[in-house]
Amino acid sequence: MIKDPSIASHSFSVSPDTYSTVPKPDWQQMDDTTLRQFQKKFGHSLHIRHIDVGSCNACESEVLALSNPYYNFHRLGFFFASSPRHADVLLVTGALTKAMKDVLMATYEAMPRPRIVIAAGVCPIHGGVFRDSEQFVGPVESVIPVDAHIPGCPPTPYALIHGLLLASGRMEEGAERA
Amino acid sequence: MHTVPERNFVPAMPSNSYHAPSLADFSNMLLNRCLRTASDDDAPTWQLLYYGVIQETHSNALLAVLVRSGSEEQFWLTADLSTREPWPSLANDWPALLWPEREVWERTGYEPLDHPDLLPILHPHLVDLESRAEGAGVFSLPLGPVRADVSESAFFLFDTVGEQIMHLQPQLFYKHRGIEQLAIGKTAEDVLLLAERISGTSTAAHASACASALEQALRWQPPNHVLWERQLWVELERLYNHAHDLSQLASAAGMTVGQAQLARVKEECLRLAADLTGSRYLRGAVKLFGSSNINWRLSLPHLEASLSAADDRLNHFVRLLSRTPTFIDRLVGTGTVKREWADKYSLVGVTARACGVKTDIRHDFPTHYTGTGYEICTSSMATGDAKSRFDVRVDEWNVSVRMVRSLTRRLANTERNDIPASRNLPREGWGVGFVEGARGRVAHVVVVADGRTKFYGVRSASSWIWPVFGLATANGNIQTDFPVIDASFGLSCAGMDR
Repeated sequence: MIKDPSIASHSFSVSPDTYSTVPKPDWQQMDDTTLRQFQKKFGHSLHIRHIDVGSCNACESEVLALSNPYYNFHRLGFFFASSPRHADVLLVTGALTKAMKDVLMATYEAMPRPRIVIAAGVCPIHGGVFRDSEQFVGPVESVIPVDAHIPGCPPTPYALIHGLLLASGRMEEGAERA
Repeated sequence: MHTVPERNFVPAMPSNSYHAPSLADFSNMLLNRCLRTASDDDAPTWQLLYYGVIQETHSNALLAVLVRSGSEEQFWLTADLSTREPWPSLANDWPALLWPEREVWERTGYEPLDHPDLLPILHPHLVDLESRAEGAGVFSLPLGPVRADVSESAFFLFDTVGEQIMHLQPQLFYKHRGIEQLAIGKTAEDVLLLAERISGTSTAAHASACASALEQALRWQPPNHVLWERQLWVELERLYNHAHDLSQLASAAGMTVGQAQLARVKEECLRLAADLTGSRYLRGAVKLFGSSNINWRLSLPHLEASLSAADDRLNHFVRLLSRTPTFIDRLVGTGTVKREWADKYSLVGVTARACGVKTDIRHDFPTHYTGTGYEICTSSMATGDAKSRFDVRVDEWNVSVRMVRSLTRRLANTERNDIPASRNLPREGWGVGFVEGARGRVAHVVVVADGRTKFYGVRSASSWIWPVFGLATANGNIQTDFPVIDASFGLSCAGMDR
């Protein structure tokens, strides 16, 4: 039995018609409280779902490098999740395209609470060179709430680890271990 | 036929351009030049670099850009699409045009008649793919766009009977960023910046193809050391890409040690790139109208040492993998590309060479590569399966290591006196640039008018290979083979989607 309703009660996707009798959660209020709760509950192990919303593939290459023996981010308790339903963190890379907008929202919706979103690279933060493209929707923050930004084109694996530690509230501990 | 007889080395206009009076003429000319004759190991003399739509002043025109192997001869073929005459599809005779014709149709609204598979391609989110296989026990399995652990966004619809894959439809363009449209009106420098971000793991290949297209358009002939340096970046890029693909292949077959060690090799190559250029992905390494200001004589010892260490490690673990029956068994006969498909789809890159087709820009246009230790790597078995692609990648790694060594020594021993591009560069022209990237031929086509880009076309290697990916996956494989097939093709979605 989970006493705090904001943690587990909304892992389903709320469709206005299907659940019209269910009171709607206050999304904004919950997202503000999420990060703090998140760090408390998941400070020691994070499962990361990566989503590419229109990148050039350099960011994916750097994200994948996190698991190579040089960075070996498993030692810090970070793991990739195959499904958003098993993930604590959504790691977004790329310039959000029209075709990926609904996919991004569906992926975000599918995640259990609490959850955080990290935007990695210039593209999800700002759009970078693709900002003026008519296929570009906007910064990821304009679609879903973003908790941490990792700039770079692409961000190096060290920058990604820094961002992940920051998001999980373990920056000091990470600095000691590194 | 109208041709321009006198050809300067760097022409103001394409060496040969022909505006076909009708679409039928356009089709005939294209087929006559480009179709590969079967049972011939060499690629056809004319290669199709680009097929798409170009905006003329008042109307849309079909544009095909061809280049003759072994020469500098280019051929630009255009035909108006605005006339009300029917446009017969060529995809039945030449399936390489299956996807390009769909794209032209979607951009202009002109329908290719009798096209075998006419579905919108640029707006995947608006198209619901339907299962193609029918019968008892057929089950449709959608996969993506969010899939696997860390991978690019693409959608796959599998039709399966039990474990057996009966049919696979890949759906791409989820990452369509409209780069070709975005480039219009930009300066040469800005276009190069965009080109570097078409496919991040082919940054150097796209950048040098773009740079040579722009330089041809603005009539600047790069000196040899500039060409050598660009080739060096492309080879360095090939090294980390091949290490990555081999590592992913080991991962797909469950070889954890092989995966980790080969990923380590990739990381070492990326770090070497960062040591030399300041960017792990060689961003900004290719300069327009010149070369970098790296002191190669000073960099040489560090480069040689890092390269030797990476080379030893890769070859050691590849040897171990090759002696591991559980690894080899997963590769042999998996994801086989038939030789016939390689011809019909005008395949390029590692995938084509694994079928025994001798196609490689460095082989077809042996200009500044001579004496660098380059040789074409085709699989000895030429079976076109995952094992052949593995073998080709390993051979190419060794060739690229030789080339990097030789090119750096050349650069270290060359007095560079960059001829600065004149300030009075012409303000208009046409140019084509093509490079053999890690995945295959990367081609850029550019038209400059009034100092700004008027037209920009990009065809990466992946855009010619993706249509065959579905066929090869459904070629007698089961679902658990998919990761192996995916890794052995090593295709880029970003390069396809643009």
